[in-house]
Amino acid sequence: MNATLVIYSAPITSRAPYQALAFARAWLATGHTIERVFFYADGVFTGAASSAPPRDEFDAHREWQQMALAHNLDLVLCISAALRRGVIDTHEATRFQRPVHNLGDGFRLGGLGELVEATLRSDRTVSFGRHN
Amino acid sequence: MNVIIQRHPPYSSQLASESLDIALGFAVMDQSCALLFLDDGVWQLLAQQSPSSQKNLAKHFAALPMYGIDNLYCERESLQQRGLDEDALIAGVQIIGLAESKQLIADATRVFTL
Repeated sequence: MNATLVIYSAPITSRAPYQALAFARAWLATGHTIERVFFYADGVFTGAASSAPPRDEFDAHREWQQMALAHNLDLVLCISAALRRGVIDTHEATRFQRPVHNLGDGFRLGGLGELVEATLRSDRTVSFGRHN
Repeated sequence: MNVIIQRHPPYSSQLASESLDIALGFAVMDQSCALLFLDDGVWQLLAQQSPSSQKNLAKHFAALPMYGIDNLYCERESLQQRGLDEDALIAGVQIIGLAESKQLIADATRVFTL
C-alpha cells in the first residue's frame, strides 16, 4: 500500500515527528511505500536545520533527513505554514528579503495542493500530532 | 468525502484558519469536503464576530459555497456544553448529534484534524 503521512506538530513540544518516523520505518519494512511526507502547521519546525538538540536527545530534523536519504522520500513543508513560522529556504529568503534561511537538505517547500495530490495517489493518509 | 474537523477556537491561534486552508486546498482541486465543528471549534461559527487583529473567520465560511463546500456540520452536544444557542450561529450550518458526527467520520474517505 501507498501512504501519505501528515505531521501537524513540532519536535520538542510534541512526539509527532518521532511517532511518524517510527510508523514510516515499520510501514516501509513491511513492503509498503510512502508517497509523500507533508509537514503542516507546527510540524514544519521539523524542517529547520537550525535546531540543535543535545546529542543524547532525539533529533527529529536529522532523523527525518537520514530517513529521506535512505528511502528516497519526498519531504514537503507547507510553504505558507513554514513562512509564518520562520522556516525558509534560500529562494524565499531572497524573495522576502530575510537575512537567514534554515530549511535543511532533504526537505522542500510546497503548496497545500501537494498534500491533496499526494493523498489522491495514496491508499491511506496517516496523520500525526495536534488536536489538544 | 474528505472531512475536516474544526476543534479549535477561532482566535487563540492560527489553527482554525490553517485547518480551513486544508478544506480549501481540497475544494480547489474539485475534491468534495465537509467541515465538522466539534468542541471549542463551534465558537468559530458565531455570527457576531468582530476580530480586531485576525481575519474574520465567519466571513470566510459564508464564502465556502463558492468553493463547492456546502456542508458545514456543527455538533449539538458541543454547543450545549458551552451554553451556545443555534440561533447565534451563522446561516447555513447543519446541527447534528454525536451519533451523526461519528457516522460522518466513519463514512469519510479521509479525515483531517488539526
